[in-house]
Amino acid sequence: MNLLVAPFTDNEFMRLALVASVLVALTCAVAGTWVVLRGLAFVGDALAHGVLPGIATALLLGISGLVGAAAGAIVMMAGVGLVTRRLRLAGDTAIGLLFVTMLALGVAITSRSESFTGDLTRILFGELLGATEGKIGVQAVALAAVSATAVVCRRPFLMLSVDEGLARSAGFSARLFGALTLAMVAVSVVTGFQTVGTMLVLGMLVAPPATGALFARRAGSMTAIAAACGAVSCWLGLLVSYHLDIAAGASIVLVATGIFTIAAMAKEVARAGRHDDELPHAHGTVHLP
Amino acid sequence: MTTFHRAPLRLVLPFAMVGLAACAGSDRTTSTQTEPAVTTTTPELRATVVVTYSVLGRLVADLVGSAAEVVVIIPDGRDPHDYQPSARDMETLSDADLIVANGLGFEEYLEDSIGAAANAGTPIFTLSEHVTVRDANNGTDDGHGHGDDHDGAADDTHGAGDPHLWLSPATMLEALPALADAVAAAIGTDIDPTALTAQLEALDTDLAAQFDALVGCELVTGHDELGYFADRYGCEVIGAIVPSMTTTADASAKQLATLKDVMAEHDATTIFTSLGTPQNVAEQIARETGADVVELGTHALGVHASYAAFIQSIADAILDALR
Repeated sequence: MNLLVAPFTDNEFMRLALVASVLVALTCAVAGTWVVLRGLAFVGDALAHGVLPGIATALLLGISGLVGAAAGAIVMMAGVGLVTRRLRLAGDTAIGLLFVTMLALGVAITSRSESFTGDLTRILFGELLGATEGKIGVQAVALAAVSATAVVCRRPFLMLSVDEGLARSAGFSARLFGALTLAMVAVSVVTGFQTVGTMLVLGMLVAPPATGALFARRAGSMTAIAAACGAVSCWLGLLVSYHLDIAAGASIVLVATGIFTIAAMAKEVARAGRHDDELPHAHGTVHLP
Repeated sequence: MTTFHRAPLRLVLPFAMVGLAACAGSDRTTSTQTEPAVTTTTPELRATVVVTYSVLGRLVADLVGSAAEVVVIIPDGRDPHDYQPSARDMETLSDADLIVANGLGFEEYLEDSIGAAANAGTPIFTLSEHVTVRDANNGTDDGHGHGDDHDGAADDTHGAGDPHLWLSPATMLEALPALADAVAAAIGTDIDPTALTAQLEALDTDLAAQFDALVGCELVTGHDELGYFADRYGCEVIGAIVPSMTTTADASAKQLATLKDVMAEHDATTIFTSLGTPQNVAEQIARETGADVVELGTHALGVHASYAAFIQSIADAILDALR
């Protein structure tokens, strides 16, 4: 028991990291549910990398990386919308174009600036073990905003995830609620990058909700399972980092994807087991001893 | 007044018309000892010594004076550990009469470019081949019990030697005669290292005396960067935020918990951070251990007009914090 709790009672940086990462996990669980249901993982990935030039520019100007990330996300989302509507290109082509443009722009800005102080690693992989009360406060606000949006817009989001026409016939604007879904993803990415980094925030956005999707029949329970898996991943991931001496952000994401893998295998085994039970009835003639 | 400065763009523009080589040379941190401005020289006619990073560049400039133009590839203030060269850097390297590099994997992403220049016949002076190299595993790893996985991975790409050679003037002194010979051979002008040698020997003696007067000198650093300095002046690096030879590694919870214990055990009062140190992590550990965070410019030349002044300022910052 000591191994599981003592690292947190002994070290303030572990407690702060746990609180910060759990808040990220909860925010990502809410937004990620719709990422998984609507198949938006690629947009999430693009947003996570597309914020890079914004962050880099903000750090160069000496303003908060959060502001830069938000600006980057807005440019990214507006750009995807514009290219898709005006040029009639498939969504993933538009996303791919903007994604690489933003990523290359970010690398270009960081590479040629003479005052950039090697913070690229920090942007990409976060600074979880340096979580501060300020960041935790920002993350709590993000969680509240994303949760409120998800609760209020639950019906249109659900209809959108089934069929856009269904949403429209019910009187909901597909464009508005599509944009709101993306905004939730953007808020998760923009606030989460400070804690787990732009590379790993996608892991929290996809892995726990995917685990939820394995078992849940309703969006609400999917989010609940995702939140639980995400929070457990943070706790276990920090313990792995503590006991096995591994970078903290990577540990958390590996635990989250590990939980998904184990859950998926367990489900397969359970289904195979049920089939064995059912087989004598369904295919009795084949399987009679 | 520093003679080590960056050429303003408008002064560079005429050279762009003279030729690409001029352009490559002058839009860089450039230094001459006697002439205050790059524009009074014609890069086409002067020998060019290209140095990978600013502090070493300053030392080479201190050595060669006005006999050659010294061009630095990695902009001062950028983290040399993760600097990636541009196409123009490649041209600068290939146009050099001599390339001076640190070695030991310090210029991680420049190595291929330097190798290409060497294949094309440009002479290379690798500093680490002319000094006593400190074993990388001799640093903060000893006795603190944190796993070797992290450092092991870094060491694979970095060789076993600690690359932070420039942080001890005594180490640089070892290489000065060979460096003077290499520059002389490359540019065809005699280079006399006597004055600089005397200056650095005086600095070394001076620092040794200043640190001797200090009661205990235990250092906690951003990454493992002060090994040569500590070895020379009787200090001990007891831990680091990122216990690795490079800033491109990441902190783990275990290392930080170990560091806290070590700092408590040694009553450490200061964490010396540098370029690439995860600042928030350093501040959090400082808060939990009651220590102060002091930023040391170990990887950037800054405003210093000579290599000796650079070393003195680092020594002063350490002495101020530990007194």
